[in-house]
Amino acid sequence: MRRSDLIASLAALLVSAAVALAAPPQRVVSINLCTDQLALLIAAPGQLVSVTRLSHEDTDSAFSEQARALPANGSGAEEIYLLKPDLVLAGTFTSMATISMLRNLGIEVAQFAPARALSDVPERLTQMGEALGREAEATALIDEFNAELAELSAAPAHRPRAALTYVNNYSSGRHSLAGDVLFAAGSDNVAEEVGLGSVGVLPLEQLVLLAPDVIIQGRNYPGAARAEDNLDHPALSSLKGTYMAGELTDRDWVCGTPNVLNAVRSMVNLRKQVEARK
Amino acid sequence: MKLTILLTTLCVVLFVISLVTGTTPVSVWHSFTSLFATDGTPMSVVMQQIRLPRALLAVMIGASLGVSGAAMQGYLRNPLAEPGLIGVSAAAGLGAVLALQTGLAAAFALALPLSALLAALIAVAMILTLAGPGVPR
Repeated sequence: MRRSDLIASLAALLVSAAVALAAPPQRVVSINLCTDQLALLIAAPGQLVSVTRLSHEDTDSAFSEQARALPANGSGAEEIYLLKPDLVLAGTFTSMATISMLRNLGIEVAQFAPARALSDVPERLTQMGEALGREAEATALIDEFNAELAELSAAPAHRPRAALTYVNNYSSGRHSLAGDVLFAAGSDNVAEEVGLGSVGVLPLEQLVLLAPDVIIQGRNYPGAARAEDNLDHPALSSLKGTYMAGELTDRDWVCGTPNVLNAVRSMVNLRKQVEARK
Repeated sequence: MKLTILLTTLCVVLFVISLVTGTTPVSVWHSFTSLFATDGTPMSVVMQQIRLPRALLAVMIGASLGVSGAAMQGYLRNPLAEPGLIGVSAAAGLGAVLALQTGLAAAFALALPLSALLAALIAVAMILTLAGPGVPR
């Protein structure tokens, strides 16, 4: 073989390798509720072949209708391997055993961190666009998201003091997705006044003493856990000057997808409602 | 008699301490004025809706535990007896869980305690039947 032939074939080999690397994955399996939703938004038709079981449920998944068109998986290494994916989408909190097993079997796994702020949403969209080879779609969604968020988070004249309270007195501070939704929608979070930064417990007594302008409650799931009794504690309804907004944190609050804008929108409407009461 | 007075006094003192203890430190005086205030301020809500029910509940639970312990000790003639000995506690727990899981507890307020009592009664009846009248002496 002549040297120029060798160089030409080497170059051809390199080019095809690069194309193979850059070629978008054809069979993508998602094993995390939030990557399911990001992938459903961005993936090309037929590219995503399976989503998690949770995604099929209306209570947790904002895209349950689209998700039900795809077979569900239970996020186990064995069943995922049998689906023969060339890319698996997982969360950073997905079981390490599952992820390392899939990687040892030669399957590429992309991990996505959960969104802790609204600014994480464009980042995750970009990451998903790159993972699926659909950068243009991701960019379009990001532009749409940023424009809508900017419109929704126009600075209000007055910021009411709001509190988020969930089952077992959990609450979200400023540095969480729910807290950031509240902040962007123009309300201050009382959890911050007692030093709750991200997610933690805000005892009922403390919540009552903070006397927020509005209390937003987490969901009361079907079933009858004692932990949920706190949501309708008589102390909350006897507070004068506090508006009980009821259960508002639904499936749009769970994942960092453009759907959190629905949550922001509902919080903006709630803020206006609270202002109107005064 | 002396012991009864001592224990009753202790109970009253602990009740008061429970009323003025909470996640937020508030002065004893402010706590008590809020307890009787009808102004609906956050502190009076805390005293009337959270701390007072909590302290009363503790007294009532303690009293019923004491009564059931005394009944067991008399019935079994064993000074160390407690309801768990004949399966009352575990069966009541099962009854409560069944009421919660079937949604019965949400049907009406007393569904949960009634279901627990019923399960406890059934368990006691079963255990006493199984154990028989005992060895004749």
